[in-house]
Amino acid sequence: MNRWVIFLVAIWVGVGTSAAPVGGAHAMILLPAGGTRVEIAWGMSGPAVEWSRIVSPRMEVIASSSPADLFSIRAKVLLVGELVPLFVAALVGTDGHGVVGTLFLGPVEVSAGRRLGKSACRWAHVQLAAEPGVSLVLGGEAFGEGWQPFAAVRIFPQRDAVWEIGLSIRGDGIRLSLGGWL
Amino acid sequence: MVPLAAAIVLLRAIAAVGAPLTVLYTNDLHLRFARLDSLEHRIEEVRAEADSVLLVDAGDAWHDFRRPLTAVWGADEMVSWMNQVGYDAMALGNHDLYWGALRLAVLARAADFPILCANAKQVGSARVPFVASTRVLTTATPVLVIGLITEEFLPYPAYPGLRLVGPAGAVREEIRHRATDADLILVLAHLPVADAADLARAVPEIDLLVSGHSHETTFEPLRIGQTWIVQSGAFGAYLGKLVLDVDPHGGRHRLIANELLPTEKAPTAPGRGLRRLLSVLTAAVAVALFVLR
Repeated sequence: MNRWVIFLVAIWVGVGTSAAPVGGAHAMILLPAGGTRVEIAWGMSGPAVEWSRIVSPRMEVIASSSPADLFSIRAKVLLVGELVPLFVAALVGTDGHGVVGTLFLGPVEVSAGRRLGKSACRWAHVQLAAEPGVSLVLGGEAFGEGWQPFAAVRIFPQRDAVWEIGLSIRGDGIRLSLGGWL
Repeated sequence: MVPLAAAIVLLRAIAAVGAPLTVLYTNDLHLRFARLDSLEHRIEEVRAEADSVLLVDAGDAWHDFRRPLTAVWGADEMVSWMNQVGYDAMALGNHDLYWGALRLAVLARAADFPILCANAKQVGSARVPFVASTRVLTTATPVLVIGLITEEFLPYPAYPGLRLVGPAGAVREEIRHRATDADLILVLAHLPVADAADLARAVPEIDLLVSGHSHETTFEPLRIGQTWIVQSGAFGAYLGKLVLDVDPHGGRHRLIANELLPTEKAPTAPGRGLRRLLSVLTAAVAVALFVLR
């Protein structure tokens, strides 16, 4: 547990600002069909809310609202789920279309994706989840030219992934989020 | 219900005249196909000699990223092999979760034996492909078999439907609810021997702990109170064989013998799964190019 504590302190002291895990950033569909997840977040650019619903084992619908984009909706459709450990999903939505791939290696998960259109961006991150209760996300994202790093910590107070508190750090500041499976 | 009760009474009567129970155990097979023929031969040898044999695995049979070729195709074949040799139960290991929930459910459905895990509880409407425990009616004695998983290296964010609870409490709960007719309580714990010893101290009702995860080899079983703790190394290098004289009246069970039967490696087809691995890599490169270009 100590290494996680050290990392958390390093984030607070060393950077002092944060942002949230990238919404829809990995390719896997995690909740059972019919599952609904809600996340509210506070960051430098104001509050944001995201709602997602698992329509089928291969499809998730995600709606979000923030001061920058009052309403957007997109679907994540699992294209490749049989080539474990690789999962590939298509993202189709009002904020653009894209593809995201996830290499699921158990406690280590590597994801990379790109969205084209209104909110064009690219991202890549690694999630480490070695112990129950906390996981770490390190990566980078690019809006236009140049990549900027980000780091996030996901804290699961109940030692499961039902409810989580997310704290992330990007170039534009800290973002704190609270998300849960209803 | 009446025939079942009669069968239990009959089996208890058989046990009362001293039929020993042989427990064959493996752990951390990790898709090592080269040793399966030898393991199977060993299992058949023991079955030919013993009247009452229980065959169990303490987890991590279906996955190993250290072997990327077998990791992309091997799990189905491992399940088939375990069905073929007649495993009675298997504990869920942390590596077995690395398939992801959808694939794990398919593998568990294909298994003719129950996958056990008592300390990861289902949350909400999630459907988990395992049960906490099972009762096995051997010809020597009825046995309650309970599974446990380690908390180490669990990909829990990928399983929002699982909540981890303490292993001791989980085992106590199973014993309280399901041990009524069982003469022997066997825990398949995907936990290192030291953690298994702590569990034995916390739950002294456990008779036998087959452990795993740490790849330890217990040539001499560890004894904590009345509990025996064993582990057979890893990768199928040994088949564990423990013979117990089970007291059908719930008293002390006597250890007759414990040995680790060595197995031999056989050549396996090189390059098997290469096409599937190449498919994975090609798709991964395509995604990477799309993101980076």
